[in-house]
Amino acid sequence: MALFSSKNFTADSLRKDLESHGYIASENVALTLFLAAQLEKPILVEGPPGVGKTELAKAASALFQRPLIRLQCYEGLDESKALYEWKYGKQLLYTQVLKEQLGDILRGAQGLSESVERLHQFGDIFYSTEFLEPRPLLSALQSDEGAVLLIDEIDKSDQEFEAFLLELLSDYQISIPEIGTVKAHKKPLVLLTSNNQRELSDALKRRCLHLYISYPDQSLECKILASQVPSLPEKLREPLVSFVQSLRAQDLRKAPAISETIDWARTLLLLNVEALDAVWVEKTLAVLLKHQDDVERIREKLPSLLKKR
Amino acid sequence: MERKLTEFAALLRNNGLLVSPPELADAVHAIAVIGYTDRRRFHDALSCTLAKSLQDSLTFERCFDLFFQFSSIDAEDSSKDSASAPPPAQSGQGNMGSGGSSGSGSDNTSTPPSELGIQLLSSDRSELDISMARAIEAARLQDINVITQKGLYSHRILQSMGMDDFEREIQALDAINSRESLLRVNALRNARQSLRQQIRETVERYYLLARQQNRDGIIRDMDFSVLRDSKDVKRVVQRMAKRLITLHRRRQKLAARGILDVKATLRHNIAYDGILAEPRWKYIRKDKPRVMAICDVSGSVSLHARFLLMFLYSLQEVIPKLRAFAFSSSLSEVSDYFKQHTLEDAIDLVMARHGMGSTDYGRALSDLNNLACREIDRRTTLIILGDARNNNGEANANLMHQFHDRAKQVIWLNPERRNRWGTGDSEMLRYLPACTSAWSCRNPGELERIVDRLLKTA
Repeated sequence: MALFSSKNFTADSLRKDLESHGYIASENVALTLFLAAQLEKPILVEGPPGVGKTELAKAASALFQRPLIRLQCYEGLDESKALYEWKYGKQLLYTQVLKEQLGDILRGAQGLSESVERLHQFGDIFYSTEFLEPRPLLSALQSDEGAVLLIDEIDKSDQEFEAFLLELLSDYQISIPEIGTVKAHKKPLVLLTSNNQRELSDALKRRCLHLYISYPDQSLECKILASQVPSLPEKLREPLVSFVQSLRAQDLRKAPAISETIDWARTLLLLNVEALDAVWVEKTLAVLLKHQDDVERIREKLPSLLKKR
Repeated sequence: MERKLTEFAALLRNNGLLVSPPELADAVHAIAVIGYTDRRRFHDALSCTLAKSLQDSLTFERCFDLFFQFSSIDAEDSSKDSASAPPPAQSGQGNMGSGGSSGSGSDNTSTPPSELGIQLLSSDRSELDISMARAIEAARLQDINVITQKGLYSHRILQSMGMDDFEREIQALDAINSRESLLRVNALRNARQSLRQQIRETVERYYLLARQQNRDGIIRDMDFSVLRDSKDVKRVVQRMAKRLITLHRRRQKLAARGILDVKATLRHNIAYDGILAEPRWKYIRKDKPRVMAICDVSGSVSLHARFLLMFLYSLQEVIPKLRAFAFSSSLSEVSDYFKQHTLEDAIDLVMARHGMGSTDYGRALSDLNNLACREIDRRTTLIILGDARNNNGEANANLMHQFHDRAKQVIWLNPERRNRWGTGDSEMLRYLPACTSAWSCRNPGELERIVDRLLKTA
C-alpha cells in the first residue's frame, strides 16, 4: 500500500488524521487501524451497537481517500449478491441478436459434429467479464485506486458465506468458476463488524486483527460530542455525558450508545434547552432509551440519578 | 524478541487460546512495526493480533500480566536502585580501587572478584538481567511442573549464574578481615539475598503458569469420583459443550439445505411434458435428537450423574428435547427443575430430593415404564447412567428389552471398569444385551467422546 509507506505515517498521526475527519478514536482503535494498514490485514470490529463500528470504516475511507464499498450481511446472503452475477438479460439479448450471425458461421458445415466444432472455436464469449455484474466484493477487488471494504454485521450471514469469505480475507483474491481467479488490483482495506449474534469461526478470526470497541469513557465521549455537535453549549456537554454514563451503569435492556448520546444532544439543541433538569430529561428520555421498560425504570430513578452529580 | 513471543504464544495456547502460527507471525510483524518501547502499545498490538474475542482477551490480559511482569518489575527495581544502590556500589568499587593501590593487592589477585559479584554491585542491572535470563533458559525453567522442583530449579539457576565463584569470593574476603573487605562482603551478601528473592519469585511465577496450563488437561482425564463441583469443572464442561455445539449445529443446518435431485425432478416434471418447471431437492432428513437421560443419583455414582446432567443441559442448543429422570430407589422426572432454576441449583435440588435411599434398578425401570413408556419412540435415545449395582434386588431386565425395542438406541454409561461389570451384586451383564451400546465412562474426556458419537447418530 503505497499510501501508507510514507515515513511520517504512524499510529499517532493516524489518530490525529482520523480526528480531523470527525472520528475521535481511542488509542487502541488508531493503533489497530494502523497495524491493519501496515500488515495488510482485515480488522474484525466487535462491540455493542452504536459505538461507531461502521463510522470507523467511513472515517477510514475518507482518510485514505478511497471509496467505501459496503456489504450488508443478512441470513441467506450468497455469492450472487455479494460477489458477482451474470447479466442474464444481456446474455439473452445478445443471443437473440447474434442468431443470424450463427447462421452465417454454420453455413456450409458438413453434419452436426462439424457445426459444433465451428461453434467451439468461438470460446465462451457469453461467460466473459463483459457479462459480469460485479457485486460489492468484486468491485472492491477491481477498484483501481483501492477501496475500503466494509462487511457489515458478518455475524448475521450464514456460516457458508463466512467460509466463502476466507479466500478473500487471506489472499485478496476470489475464484469465479467460469473465469478463474480474480486478484485484487490493489489490496483493499477490509473491515468486518459483528454484534456477536453468533460465534464466528476460528478460521475467520485467525485471518483478522481483532478490535473490541466498548463504550467510551467520560472524557472521550465529551470529545466526540464536541466534534459531532459543535454547536452544543459547553456547559451542557459535561452534565449530558455524565448522565449518559450513569445510565450505562444501570441495568438496562439496551444501554445508550454514542449514537444515542449524539442524537440526544441534537434533540436538546433543537429544543433550545438551557440546563439539564428533570423535566427536560424526562421528556426526551425516549431518544436515549429504546425500550419502554427501560424508560419507565429510569423515570422512577430519575431524581436520584440527576442528584448524584 | 521472537523467542519471547513464541513462549508467550505457548502460554496462551496452554490457557485455551488457539494461537495459530500465522497469528503469531502477525504478532511478530506488528511488534516489528510499532516497536516495544511503549508497553501499552505493545500490549494493544499483541492483543489485536492474538486474542480474537472478548472472552479470549480476558485470558489474554491475565497471561500478559503474568508473562511480561518481569520487565516492569525490573524497571521499578532499577529506578529504586538508582536511588539507593549507587552508594554501596560506588563504595564497593572504591574499595577495589583503594585496596589495589594501598598494597593489599595480593588478596585481590588471589581471589579475583567473581563475575556475578560485579554484576550484582554494578548500578546497571542489564548485565545481571541478561545473565539471569540465560540461566533461566539453561535450567529449562519452563518445564517445571511439580511443587517440589522449585528448590531444585532455583539452585540450578543460581549455579549457572556463577554462584560458586561468588561464594568463593565471599569466603576469601571474609578471611582478609579488613574494613574495606568487610564492607564489600556485606554489600555482596545483601545483593545475594535480593537476588535469591528475585529468583524465588521468578520460579514461583513459572510454576504457577505451568500449573494453570496443566489443569484443564488434567481435569478431562480425572476420575469423576475425585472431581468436586468446582469452577474448573464448570469451565471444562462449558468448553466441551461449546465444541460439540458448534460441531453439530453446523451439521443440522447442512441437512436443512438440500441440492437438486435430478432424478426426482425429471420424474415429477413428466406431467409438464418434460419441461423442467418444478425442481425437486435432495434432503437429508436429520431429526434433532430426543434424549432421555436416566441417572442413578445414589451415593456411589452421584458425582457422575451431576456431571452428566450438567453436560447434557449445557448442550441444550443441540439437544432441545431433553428429558431427565433421576432415581435411587424410586424414579421421577426432574426436567422441570432445569426449567425453573439455574443449572447448578437444579442439580443440587435433584441430588437433595432424590439422592437418598438405596439403589433399586428394578423398581426404577418399572417406574419409567409407567411414567414415560409411551413417549419412548423410534426417535428417542435413552441414556442410562449407573453402576447397575442392584443390592441383590429384582433386575427387571425384561423391561430393558422392551425399552430397547421401542427406542432408537439405548446407551448405558457405567462408571465402573468393564472388567468389574457383573461382579458382586452388579446386574450389568443382564442389562447388557438390551443396550445398543454400553461404555465405561469414568472421566470428562470419555464422556465427551461418547456424547459426540451420540449427537452424530441420534
